[in-house]
Amino acid sequence: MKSHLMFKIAIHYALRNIIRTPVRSFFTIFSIAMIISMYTLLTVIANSFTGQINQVVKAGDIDIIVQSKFSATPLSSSISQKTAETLTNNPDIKSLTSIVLGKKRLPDKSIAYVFGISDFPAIARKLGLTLTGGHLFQPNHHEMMMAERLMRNKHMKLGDQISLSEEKPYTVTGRYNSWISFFNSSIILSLEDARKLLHKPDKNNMLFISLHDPVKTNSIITKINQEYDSLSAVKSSDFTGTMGALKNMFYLSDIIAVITLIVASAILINTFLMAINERTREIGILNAIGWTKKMIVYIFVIESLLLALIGGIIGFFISLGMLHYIQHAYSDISFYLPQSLDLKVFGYSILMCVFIGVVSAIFPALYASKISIAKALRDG
Amino acid sequence: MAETIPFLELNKICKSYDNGLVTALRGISLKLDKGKIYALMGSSGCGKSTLLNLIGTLDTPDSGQILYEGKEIEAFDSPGKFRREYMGFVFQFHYLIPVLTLRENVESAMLLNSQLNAKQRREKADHLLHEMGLRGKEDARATKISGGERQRGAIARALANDPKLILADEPTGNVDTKTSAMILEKLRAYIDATQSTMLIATHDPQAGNFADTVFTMQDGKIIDTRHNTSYS
Repeated sequence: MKSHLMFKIAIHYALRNIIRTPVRSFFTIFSIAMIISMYTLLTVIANSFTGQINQVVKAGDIDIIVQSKFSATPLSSSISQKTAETLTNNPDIKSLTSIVLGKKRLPDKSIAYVFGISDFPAIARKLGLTLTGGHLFQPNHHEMMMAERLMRNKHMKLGDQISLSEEKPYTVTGRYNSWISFFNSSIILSLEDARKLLHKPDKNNMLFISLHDPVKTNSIITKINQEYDSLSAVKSSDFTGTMGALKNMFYLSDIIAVITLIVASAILINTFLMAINERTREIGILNAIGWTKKMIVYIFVIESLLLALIGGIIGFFISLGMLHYIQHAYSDISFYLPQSLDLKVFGYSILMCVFIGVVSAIFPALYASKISIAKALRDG
Repeated sequence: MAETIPFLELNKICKSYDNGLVTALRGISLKLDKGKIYALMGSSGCGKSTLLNLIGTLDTPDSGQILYEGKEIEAFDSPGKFRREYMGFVFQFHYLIPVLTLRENVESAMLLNSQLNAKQRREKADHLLHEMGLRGKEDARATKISGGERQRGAIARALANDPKLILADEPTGNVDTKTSAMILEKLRAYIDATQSTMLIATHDPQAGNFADTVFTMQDGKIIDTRHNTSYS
């Protein structure tokens, strides 16, 4: 086969057929675009959150993460300070970082995440935080640090005061950046101030544990889980897999991936069965002038690929727009959101479109290639 | 003296449709020689198109034998390859691919069995289109030209692979008299120049008169064979 000319003719044929039935092509592309955008958005959010948690635990040299048992997310976890202190008595534990976490409504009614982190100066760099202006807060001075992105969105500057409760307002003493997205929608205070602000006296949401000897990680985890009924300790690398909400998100992402494949394929198959019905005579002609079945399948696969890829690329850009919109419109969930979509996700979307395109075209194209030529010419 | 093998020979060809309810051909036998034009004439439904389809390997007979230069179709690699290398089809309704240009339509027939490179293929397509009086229409799509131009484009496509046998089903059935005459002249010139063979199924007396031999069909049979002396 003259592959270059064949490809050229197949592309011409596909493009012109797409234009030949503009309304059908539009709705086919639109449907694929919407499906791919949903899939992309959900996948990227789930991946982003997992990635961020993993980055934190990796960067923080954290071996074990402790939450209260049966908590679906760190927000719903609660560990008493007394329990945390008893854990530090274990000689195998090198350091223990307490985290208090919660949501707080800002004066403009938007939501920000509030972190209280013990021994913050020591762990800040490990968590990927870079001070870009001002200085660290002082505990019990109603001082706080605010993410640069959040400050920009709220048109705030260093030294501004912000009321987060009925008590004295907090002064923004420093601003920071982080390569971990959720910190960029957050406020960080001392552990004590965060507990007061979030009404969680003597409570922690999570404990990050570093061991002297990481080889003992499994035995320490077993020990904590046996000795403390209310705690759930996991290896830091397994942490994201144990989070109920995240697991649900992944399940949902997988279900949507399967639905995406089925629905997008069904749309394309339907489009092609209609197209084949309309082009029966054309197929008969191509057969009559000596085209092989392979060539006929090829032109339909190219057309299907083109539709799927156009839909996929548009879908990717729709998901970019949706992400941007959600970041600004729903600050409640900005915690989960990545700052942008990366090329890897784009690559996955394109691969998925290629798969959908090829699979969807094969069945109708094989059907087309088997149409009786005489019947196609007579009845087409 | 040894008997000359005819270019195409049909022996007792039968064909029916709808599980035998409709009989299209009833034991057709005929022989076609090289360098001649043959016409199949008869009323609608007499079996002309069915016979063309069987000869063109677009359909298979229920019984009987079709020999191409003494060989059955099974002796060739595949019906598709055989059609590419042996045959050119002209249909009543041009049947050009509407989304392709005239040049692409002609080139599409040369995709598989031509030894030509892209430039030569393009030149040949253009040459055939010019021969058919379609200079300047190479990049036009079938939907943008007249019925006569489409039919000439379809003939250019049929001639793309230098076929030994041209099968034409009502090639002038959808064009005016002037275009019809032009199409028939072009086909005659091709047959004379290449010593190939043409079989036309037609109602058109003009096309019938233009053939060397006319077979008249009725109810799936050949009832009369007439030789036109002006062309023989």
